[in-house]
Amino acid sequence: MTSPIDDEILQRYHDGDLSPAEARGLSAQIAGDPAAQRRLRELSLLQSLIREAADDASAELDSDALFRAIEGRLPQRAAPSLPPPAPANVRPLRRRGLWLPVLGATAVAAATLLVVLRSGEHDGGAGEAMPPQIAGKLEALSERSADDARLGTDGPPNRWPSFGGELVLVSTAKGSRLEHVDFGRNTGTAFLIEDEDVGVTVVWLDDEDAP
Amino acid sequence: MSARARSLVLLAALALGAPAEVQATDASVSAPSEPVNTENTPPVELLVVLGSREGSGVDPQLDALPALRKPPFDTFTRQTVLERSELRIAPGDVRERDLPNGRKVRIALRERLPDGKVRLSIAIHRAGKDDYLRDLNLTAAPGDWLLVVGQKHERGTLIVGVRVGPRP
Repeated sequence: MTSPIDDEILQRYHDGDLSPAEARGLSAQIAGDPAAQRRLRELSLLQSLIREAADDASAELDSDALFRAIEGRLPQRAAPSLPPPAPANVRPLRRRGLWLPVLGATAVAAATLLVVLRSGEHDGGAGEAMPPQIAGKLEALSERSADDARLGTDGPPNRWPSFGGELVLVSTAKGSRLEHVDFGRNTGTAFLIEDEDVGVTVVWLDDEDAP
Repeated sequence: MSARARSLVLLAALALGAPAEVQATDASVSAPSEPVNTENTPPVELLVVLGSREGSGVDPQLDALPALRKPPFDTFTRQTVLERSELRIAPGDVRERDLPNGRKVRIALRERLPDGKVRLSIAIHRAGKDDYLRDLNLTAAPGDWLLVVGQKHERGTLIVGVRVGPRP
């Protein structure tokens, strides 16, 4: 008797994340497992629904305004008086999952904000006031994030939201994937630009200790 | 691995036979003493660009990277290539390069995957300090770029690009 197929493994299989050998092995296992076949169909359906929702959201997203705001904000931040970075500041990125279609579809439309974080800062109300139109965009994104990335769920709606120091995954069409970033004391953001056949993963990191 | 541990690894590697004379711009932490097996060492391109809002003009070498002409990079009206080089890094090896602002970029090839992707670790810092990018782990597909942006340099901003695979 074979053991049940783990959800994460099935998700990775669905996303094409497994090695060819792993995929072949799992494919054979799925062929003999009606329950796994059903779960796989559900994953496909769910991904389609999410992608449709993300397409709708990305069509409304004013990415230029969003990035102007981000870019304008980073150099203006006062130098922080944070305690020395602790290991707790190191946050692994989430594995590829159902989140990806939301972010991917949005990113394809343009360069798209995924996260803004300040390592170790969880106050949710930090930062200067955000233009209302951008706050609205982020709110729209946060609704789609459910409680996964905690986008803007614990701060006033007109503030840059807290992300709990946690990054969600970015992955290009070809499969480049940001797994982990330790921003140390700096403020940073990570986003994706799909550019014809080339995926560009951008990590934009403020330089508060410039030489 | 902590910065201290990485420093110890660096010192140990140097003590155990790395070349005594390390070029100012290319420090290989675990420099191979034998001819490089290029089959197992995918080329890694390192690109360093200075983006500035003073003046105008984009280096023609950047034509192949149109993302730099899109937001938010289009705010840099002047983009100058400061360095473009190719590194050969075998799995398990670490390479360091000096950046023009005095920091070093350290690139480690952690693993080469069967599908052609590689797993990289990248850090940017001053010697003995963890003052910028402590650690970044990336699974990189050939041809895709990683851009680390934001270091201040000469009234501009450095864009450090890393790409796996031969130049197009």
